[in-house]
Amino acid sequence: MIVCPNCASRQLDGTIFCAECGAGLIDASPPESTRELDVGTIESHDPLPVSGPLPADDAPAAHTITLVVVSNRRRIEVDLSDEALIGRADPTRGIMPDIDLGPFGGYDAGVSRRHAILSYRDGAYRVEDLGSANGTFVNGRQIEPMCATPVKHGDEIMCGTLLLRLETRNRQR
Amino acid sequence: MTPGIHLQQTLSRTTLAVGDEPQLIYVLLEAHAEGLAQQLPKLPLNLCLVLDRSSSMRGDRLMQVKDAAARIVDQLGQDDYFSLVVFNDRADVVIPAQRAIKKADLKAAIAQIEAAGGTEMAQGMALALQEVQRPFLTRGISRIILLTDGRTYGDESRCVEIARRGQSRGIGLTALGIGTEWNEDLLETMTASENSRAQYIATAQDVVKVFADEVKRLHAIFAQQVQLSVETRPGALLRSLDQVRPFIAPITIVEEAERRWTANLGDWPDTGVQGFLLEVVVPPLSVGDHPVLKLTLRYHLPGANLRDQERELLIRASMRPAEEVAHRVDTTVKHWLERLVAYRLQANAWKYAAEGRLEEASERLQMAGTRMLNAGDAALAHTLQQEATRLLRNGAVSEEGRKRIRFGTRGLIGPVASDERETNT
Repeated sequence: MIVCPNCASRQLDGTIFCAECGAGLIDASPPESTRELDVGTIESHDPLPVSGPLPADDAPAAHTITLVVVSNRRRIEVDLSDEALIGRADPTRGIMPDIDLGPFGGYDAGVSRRHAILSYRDGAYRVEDLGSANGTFVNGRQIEPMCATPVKHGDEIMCGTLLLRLETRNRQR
Repeated sequence: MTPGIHLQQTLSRTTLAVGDEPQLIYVLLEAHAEGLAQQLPKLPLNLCLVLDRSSSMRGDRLMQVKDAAARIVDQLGQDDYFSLVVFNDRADVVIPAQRAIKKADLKAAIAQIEAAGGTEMAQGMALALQEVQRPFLTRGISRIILLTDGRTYGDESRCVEIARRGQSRGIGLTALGIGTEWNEDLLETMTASENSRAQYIATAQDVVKVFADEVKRLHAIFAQQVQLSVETRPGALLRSLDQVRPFIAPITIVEEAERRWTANLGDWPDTGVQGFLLEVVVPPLSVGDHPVLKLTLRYHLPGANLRDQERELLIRASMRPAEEVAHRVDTTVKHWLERLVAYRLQANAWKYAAEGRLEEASERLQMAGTRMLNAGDAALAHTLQQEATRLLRNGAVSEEGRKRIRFGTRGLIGPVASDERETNT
């Protein structure tokens, strides 16, 4: 039996795509065990309904932001001081993005190894596509590569086809 | 070489690891014509065109459709029969079934069609079935081609019933929807049978090519009443069987006897490839090569006066110790499976959406987008993504998006890409 990493359903050995949720079960290699998870660690699994009301603003200057993977509601918490690379870890090429979307189905969703930069300067958040193969979209609109585009709390950032929601106002710190 | 159908198998994995659990293996079955003499005599075609002429067809849409119908007349040979029915609030036979000989007269009749009124499809379908059954053909191909741009109200179940009656007599239905207003559930239900399909025509400019392609395909039919039967070894199970080439279609399989399933696959043209994907559960087996499935294809070749032809194919699982097994998956099998999975995911999404489970529905559309992106259709992947977001935000998808997804994942937005022999992975 294989357990689908996306929906946790049990599938027969040899299954290529999960019969329940359609996730790829052969390319989803486990993340490298030697990787250091100082940023972009997975904090919790399932706390927030995606379509529910957004959390209230009670931590204005916080630099810990959250990217919510919309498809499975997993939360990626990031300590953002200046800028963070969004991508997919590739140890053989020495690419270790600050926000590694590999464990979140990044390969399947067409996330590039170096996909985009998320930055915080002068109180504003920006996302910049690094010429990724499948593009970056903000609220459904594709953004120009190499052009920092302002984003704010609640915006949806899509890398390839992986949809993330930006939460800059954390409920607890 | 005797004329017939060549069968070819590709397994998702060439070897399987020995173990004590059942495993899933995917079998891609591809079939094409072989050994045909230069040209078998064409089978006579008996075609009835049923055209919606409601007021919404006015303008460019009707002009393109009339142009397309006139060109069909040009494509037909002296042995082919043609009839034309139009409908709005009522239905009329514009051209009664006849041999396509006086082509100028036929085209003049087509030119006089005007758009007005509403959409009542069942009347049109009833007249079409009547016309297409007039010619007496000892052999040949009878088809109804329906084109509509609107919703028919109150007579949907009659439409389905008439379509079924025709299909049970070997009269296939090709239902073409143009624009965004037509009822895709109805057209899909009417065409859920062999020799039948529904197709989405996004723009009026595509009508001419879609019609011409269809007639070309019908003229190329060489094998009829193709039937596949699948026998499994004890313990093995046929989990699913779907058509993947030239377009995706679920296939009804009937369990005829213990461990034996059959499916009717209709008539096949001698151009391109017919592809099917089977999901087979293999029971635990010892090291060695074990037969798992026996596939038998039965068909008639009326052009060569050959009936009840048979081709067999044995599918073996090659079991090896775990350490000797390569985990590589065949890329061609994966490509067609990826498209099939996208189709299944969107079908499930509509079911979830109908139950009000929007998050699950949106997740399925999203994942279908991922699958289509990997399968090489970035435009459709983007549509899926957009509609997944729209569904979550607004509680509904757009009419056009829904049609693009339903027919795009099947490869049935017209004109349909040519089904070359080479796979496009």
